[in-house]
Amino acid sequence: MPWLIALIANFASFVGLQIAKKTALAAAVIVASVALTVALAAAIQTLLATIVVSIPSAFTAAAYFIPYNTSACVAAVIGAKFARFVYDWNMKNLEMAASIN
Amino acid sequence: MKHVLKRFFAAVALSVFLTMSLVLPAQAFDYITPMFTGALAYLALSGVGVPVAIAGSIALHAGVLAIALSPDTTAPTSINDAPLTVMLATKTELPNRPTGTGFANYTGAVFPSFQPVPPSSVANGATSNYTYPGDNFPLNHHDLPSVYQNWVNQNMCNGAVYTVNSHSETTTTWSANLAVALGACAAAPSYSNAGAAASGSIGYVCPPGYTASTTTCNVTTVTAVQKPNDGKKALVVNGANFTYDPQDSNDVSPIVPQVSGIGTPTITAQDNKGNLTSVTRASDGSYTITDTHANVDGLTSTRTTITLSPPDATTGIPTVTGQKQEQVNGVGTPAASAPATTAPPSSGTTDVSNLATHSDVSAVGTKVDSTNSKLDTLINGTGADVTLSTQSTAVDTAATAMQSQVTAIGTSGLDAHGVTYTWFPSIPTSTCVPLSATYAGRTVTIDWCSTVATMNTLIGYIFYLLTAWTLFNIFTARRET
Repeated sequence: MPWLIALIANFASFVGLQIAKKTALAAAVIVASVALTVALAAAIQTLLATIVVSIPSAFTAAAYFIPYNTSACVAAVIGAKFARFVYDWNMKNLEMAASIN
Repeated sequence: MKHVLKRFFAAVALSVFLTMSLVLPAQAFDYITPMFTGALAYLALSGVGVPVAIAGSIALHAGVLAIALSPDTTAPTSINDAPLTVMLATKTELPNRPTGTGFANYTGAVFPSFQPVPPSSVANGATSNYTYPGDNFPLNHHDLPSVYQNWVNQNMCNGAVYTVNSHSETTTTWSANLAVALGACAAAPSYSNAGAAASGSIGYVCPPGYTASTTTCNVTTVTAVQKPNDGKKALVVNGANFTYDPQDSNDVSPIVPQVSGIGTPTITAQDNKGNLTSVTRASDGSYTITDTHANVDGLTSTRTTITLSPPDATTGIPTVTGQKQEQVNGVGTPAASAPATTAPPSSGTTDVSNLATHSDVSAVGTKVDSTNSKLDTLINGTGADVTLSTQSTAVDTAATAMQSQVTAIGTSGLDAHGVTYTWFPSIPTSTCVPLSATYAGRTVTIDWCSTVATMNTLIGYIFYLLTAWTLFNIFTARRET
């Protein structure tokens, strides 16, 4: 029976090692995903910051017609889109962690 | 995103359009009034232009709004394999006609006999004299007359050496082999020992069925003639039963099929594969042949049954009267003897009262106890170097770590993990001032700011509705994969 004892123990050890490996891979994948996303966001915002805009004075009157809550509305839409992006991104991270085997 | 931009641009365009449509006609009326007051009085047109212009604008704007807010649409090698040959056609000669030296004169069987006809006579041999002890004793068959040598060579004594066991003045005792062999195929050899053992002789004796006449042996009893060795054992129907061919008893080490039932009306032969052949002779002389051969599946056999009529009295040839083929269970005699049906299980009760006291059962119980003990050690970890409980803890720890990894992602909510997005477009703003222009030496000022403020508020509300609808769509949009 020693062979059976060794077999069961080795199998249990194998299962434990597999789960530990899965955990390490999940952590590594998420860290890599965060790093990639942070770099992408920084790069895009850097590009946007280099764009210089101005409106000719002759069109100043056009600004009269821009509603008072335009900035708030635009900010709300951009903020919501970013929140949705973060949500989708975290869901993808969950899928990656669950699918590693 | 394109929908958001589309709605914002649509709203801005609407804002400009509404302002231009509502404000300018009103301001034009305000501007024109001081200039043509008298004329208006005359024309009685005072107040007519404004209501008409506003009503027309509202109707047009209702159409624009409806468009802007419309929803989106998307083979044998050994004795065990020896074939069984049974000649049922009595007119056919048995396939073992002698062909050896001295028997070439055998002729074919004459119906109704199926035995080949032996030669009517064979040559007798001269007496062989020898001198004892001067001759080469022990005597072997080479000392026999040449014809008799052939007989011995072909029938039974090939290579055998026969010795004198004892010798006296009056009696010589030969080894048992010679006595049996010669006794079986011929009359006992004559041996004379006259005198003081100084000489002897073996006289040639005719084979069975022959009678000596000087130097010739003539056939006297044909059915007693024994056919020489051909290595095969023939079966014949002798009366009502199957027997070995009585004229074929000289074979040396014959290949005999594994036949049972010799001396009965039914003979059965079985090879080492379990294939079965049986022949049954009925009292009326008809025959039934049953052949059972294993199928390639190794589980079933094919049983072929052929019935034959009694041999024709004139021709001696039987006629096939029936044939049947069926599948039976199993392979070989015991297994294939039952038809292809499944017997119902027995409902008997087995007495197990003494089972536990049997030594074998006790030994098994001891081993099971030992196994249980070792498994207990494995599971509970008592005194074991590597235990299942230890490994179980390790597995739990690893699983908990994995669970925490997944939970951390799930409970982070809208945690951006350090990802930020702080860029927003710069929206130009300005304070409304009245429009002023000089025309024909006269400065014309149009104060549209109150109307712009009103429209700004109205369009701001429309922006609010558009933003709310956009945010709802962002929330409910299908997640991209």
